[in-house]
Amino acid sequence: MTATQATERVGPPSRAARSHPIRDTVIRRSLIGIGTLVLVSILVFAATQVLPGNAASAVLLNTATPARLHALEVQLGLNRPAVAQYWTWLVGVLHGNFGKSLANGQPVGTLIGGRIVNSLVLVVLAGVIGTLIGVGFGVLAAARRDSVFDHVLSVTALAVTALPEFVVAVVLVIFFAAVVFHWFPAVSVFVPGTAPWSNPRELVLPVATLVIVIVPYVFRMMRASMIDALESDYVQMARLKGVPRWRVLLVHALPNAIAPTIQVIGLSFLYLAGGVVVVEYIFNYPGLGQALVNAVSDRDIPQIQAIVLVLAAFYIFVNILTDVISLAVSPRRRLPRS
Amino acid sequence: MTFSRRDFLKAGLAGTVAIGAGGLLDACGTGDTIKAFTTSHLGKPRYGGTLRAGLTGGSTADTLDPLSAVTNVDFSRIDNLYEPLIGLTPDALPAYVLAEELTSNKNATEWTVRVKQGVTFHNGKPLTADDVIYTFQTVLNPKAPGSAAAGLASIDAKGMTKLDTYTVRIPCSTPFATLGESLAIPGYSDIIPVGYNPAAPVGTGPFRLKSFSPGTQSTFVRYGDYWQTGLPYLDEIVITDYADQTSQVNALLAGQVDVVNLLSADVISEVQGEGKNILLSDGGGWNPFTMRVDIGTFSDVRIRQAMRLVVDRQQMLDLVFGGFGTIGNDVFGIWAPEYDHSLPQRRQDIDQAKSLLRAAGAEGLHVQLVTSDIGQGVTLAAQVLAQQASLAGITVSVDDVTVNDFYGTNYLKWQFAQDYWFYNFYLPQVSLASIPTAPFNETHWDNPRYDSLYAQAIATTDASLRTELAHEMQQIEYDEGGYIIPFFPPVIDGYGTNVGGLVPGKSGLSLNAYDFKGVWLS
Amino acid sequence: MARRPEAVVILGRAVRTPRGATGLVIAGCVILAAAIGPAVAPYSSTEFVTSPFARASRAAWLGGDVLGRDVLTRTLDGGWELLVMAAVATALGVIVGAVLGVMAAYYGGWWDNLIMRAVDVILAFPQLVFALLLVSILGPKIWLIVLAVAISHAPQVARVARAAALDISERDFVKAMQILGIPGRRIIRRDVLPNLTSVLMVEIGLRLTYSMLIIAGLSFLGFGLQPPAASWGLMINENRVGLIANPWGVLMPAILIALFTIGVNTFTDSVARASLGVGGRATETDPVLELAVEGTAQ
Repeated sequence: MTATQATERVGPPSRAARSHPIRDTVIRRSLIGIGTLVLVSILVFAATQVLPGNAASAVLLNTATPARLHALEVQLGLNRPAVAQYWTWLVGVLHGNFGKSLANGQPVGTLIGGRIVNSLVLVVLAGVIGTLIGVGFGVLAAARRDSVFDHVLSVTALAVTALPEFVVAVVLVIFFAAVVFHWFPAVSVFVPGTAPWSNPRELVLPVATLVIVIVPYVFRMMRASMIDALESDYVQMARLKGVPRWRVLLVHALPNAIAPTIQVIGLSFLYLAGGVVVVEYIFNYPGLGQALVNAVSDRDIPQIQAIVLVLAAFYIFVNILTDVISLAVSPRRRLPRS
Repeated sequence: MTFSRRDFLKAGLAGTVAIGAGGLLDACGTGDTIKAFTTSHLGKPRYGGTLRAGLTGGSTADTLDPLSAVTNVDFSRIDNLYEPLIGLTPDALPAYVLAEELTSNKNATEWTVRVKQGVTFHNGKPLTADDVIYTFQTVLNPKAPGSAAAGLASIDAKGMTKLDTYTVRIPCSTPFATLGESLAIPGYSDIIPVGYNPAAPVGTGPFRLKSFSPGTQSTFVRYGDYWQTGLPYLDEIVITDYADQTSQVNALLAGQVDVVNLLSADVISEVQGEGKNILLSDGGGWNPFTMRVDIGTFSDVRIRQAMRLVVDRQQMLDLVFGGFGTIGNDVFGIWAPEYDHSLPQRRQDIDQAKSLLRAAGAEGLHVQLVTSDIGQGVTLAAQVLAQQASLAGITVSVDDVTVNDFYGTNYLKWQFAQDYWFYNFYLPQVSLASIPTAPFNETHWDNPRYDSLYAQAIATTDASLRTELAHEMQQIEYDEGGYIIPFFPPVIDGYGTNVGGLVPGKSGLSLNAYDFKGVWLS
Repeated sequence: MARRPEAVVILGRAVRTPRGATGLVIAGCVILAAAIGPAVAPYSSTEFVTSPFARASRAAWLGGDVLGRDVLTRTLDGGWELLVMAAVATALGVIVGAVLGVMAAYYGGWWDNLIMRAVDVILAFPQLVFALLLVSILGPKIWLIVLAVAISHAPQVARVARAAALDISERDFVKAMQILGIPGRRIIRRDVLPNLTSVLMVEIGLRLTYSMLIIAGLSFLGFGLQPPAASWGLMINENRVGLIANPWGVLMPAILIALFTIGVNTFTDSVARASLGVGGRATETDPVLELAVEGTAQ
């Protein structure tokens, strides 16, 4: 791990840094994160101002006459200067009010609140299941290195890496929903207002798609670092002392191997946040990704801002969490480089 | 997987319901006949039940305000909550609904309408002339005009007066002989009560609002004091917004919804194969190709004619709508009484098109066609046109823009584009898009003879004279106009076997303009 | 100094392994099909040859698509634009990212902070969402799609390049050259950059598959190449409605995209392994993954 250590700037550590590296990291990164969020919101807002057409034409469609457009624009506050619009929005956000959707006047918070939960369900389910499968198989493959089992898994993982989600989804739909078997529904027939877990059959294909997309990464990383750990002196010692195989694996090798895998698991969760957009589109799943695509088509600026902020906040949060866990798990990295 | 209309009729008609007979009432003084609007059913209707509708076309811009209806699916809610003075029969003819009598003076500058007595709004308030006046003054409010304002521009709303509790005098600033037809179009005369509050909407319709979540779901319950006694049959309607057809069809086949709208021809065999029914309507909506006649390539009438001649209309219908629908002849208003069916049907004629192009010095023409996903089959039709045009040496490059961009600052300014319209009668449609003062004059059509014919027609209370004038206008359009109207698309909806009372309708809106009051569940 | 052939050396080594050869062959087949496809296609990609979603027949070996056009023809026509766009976006993203990352590492201080903060902001979006937002703002123009994808790659490449460059920059021989007064640009060009070769080569492979993924994904969502263009991503979306009637309109482009990513991935993996001992970098078990994760820690 020499290269990652090289990213830290060298210098004599202050007394405070030496004593609470985790807390300091969290604070520092959180502040940077908030700054990033503000910057992101400004950028997105600026971008929406460049958009041709505005929410008024998205609402009126072919009934748009100049008089109606103008009346609606005034009503939506779209004729005020850009900076004023942004400021109103920002002040609102600081009070917990994300504004009203330009498309239908409903509060953005209620509109996307349920969808955030829906998308989270997908992300968490896929992330947890994918992690468990990836870690489990990774450990097994490392334990039986160079066996047929290992080769088959490794080659499969290599092949499946970076397959686009829509390809995976479409193939799954062809096989399990539409053409070959009819075990699962091809799209979710969600009754809005009900919880996504109330009909598990509809979650199977979307979650399976996302799991297939991330398992290869977790598997490969787990296997690689597990192999490293198994060859370390520490583990060799344990073996020589006659410790049973499974204990060696789980108690001696795994804890040391898990650290780099944490990074990949974190990356996987981050990747899922983007992957849900395509999956929700294909399976008509009422989540945040679908809402974003619609909001962009409608030029619904408050919704776009809110969704982008949520995504960015999720990213920053997962990044911080990943790094904190990494730090906690590998004591070496807390110390400054000598 | 081609199906001819014959195959379909053999296989699917069993589930559709024929139209019952309606009575014919005469509105004295105008020479117009407006049918009484009776509901139609065969078999034994049953009371009770919840109709679940899975509809596409909605979005978070869904509205309950009848004065601002925009999309097809907005009407699913509006047509059940509110009622118009005059409505459309399934055959696209005007019929009285809330109005009892509509008469005009000799010059068509003043109309008198009397509404029925005993009609109440959902909050118990009775329908009176005040509500009619309030409705029109709101629609025509110059500061916040409603969707129908453009088509009702001749009405002098400020000058409307109440003659008695149920009668209103409607003055018109310019002659408006076709007021009755205009009011019949969905969304043009839905009556709201004085003091209408969009947040707590009430109307006179057969169903009351229970809940509304735009882009997601809305529910309606039976209005017990509906003025047409014995109706509606259903207790409740639940309308769920679906994002696409695949989910709709799956829901229908799984029995999770009872009716679905706006299907494409591709899924007919799937739906029928799984034992569900198809409701096929000869829609009156139309998706024209629009050519600007004032500037640019298409200002030369020969090039316009050439473009109209490259289109193989039947092939377009076959490819885009599975052969269903009606072939068009570049003139709109096909179901209107004044439509001229004697105009020779234009067909594809590549040689003639080529010689016209040669005469205009436009061989090897390059044009750009702006299309967008504004309606069913629109982008597909654009691709078909491009391919057909290539046979005459014309290169059409298709520019697919987002819906928002299409209706943005360049709307009505594109040189060569498409559009979509719901059904309208001939003369009212002219006032919307075919005269220089029209708000939606996408072809920038400005023909003096045509304009003067229109001015005459709109002031003529004699229906047969109007028809003659309209025929002349249509001849001009047929020869020189800027529209290519290759077809009138079909409206294909689906429904389960337990649903009775659905009839096909020509309005271009699904499920006969979502008329659910005559629908029952067995 | 004979540093340039290093890339060639690594590539040569990679091709001779079974993994490398397999990956190259698979990816090569797809590239070949896409390149000569338009020349051998039986019809034109906009011609109507059969009825919509017709099953495979003698006239149309893979059946008809949504408008009755030949699926086989459109598949053969639908690859090269996608591949070229992916290649250009990757090259652009890697070059810009590498330059920025190296500059940040070498010059450090103010530059470093600025570049890394900008990187953070862009990285606060999922790549697809970022490209989606950009494209929806200005419309689905080809140059814009390529640019959007390239910009979404640059931060990650910058991070990786910075990490690798930092490693080099800290070494004594570089410090020695600085003391001797050799200008920074020369040091970067002659000594730092060549050491990044193996890292960058692997990044190119990784980014190429992501480019393909994002561009095809954008087409699929309707924000990419527009109809009536034949493009694999678009085909998958427009033929979905007829999946049951004729799955080939969806399956064929999906298979080709999948084969391409599989081939490139396998080859990239062999390149990473072959680069061991040349740059002295990653662990031996999964170098590609190490590099993919590399530089994300802060």
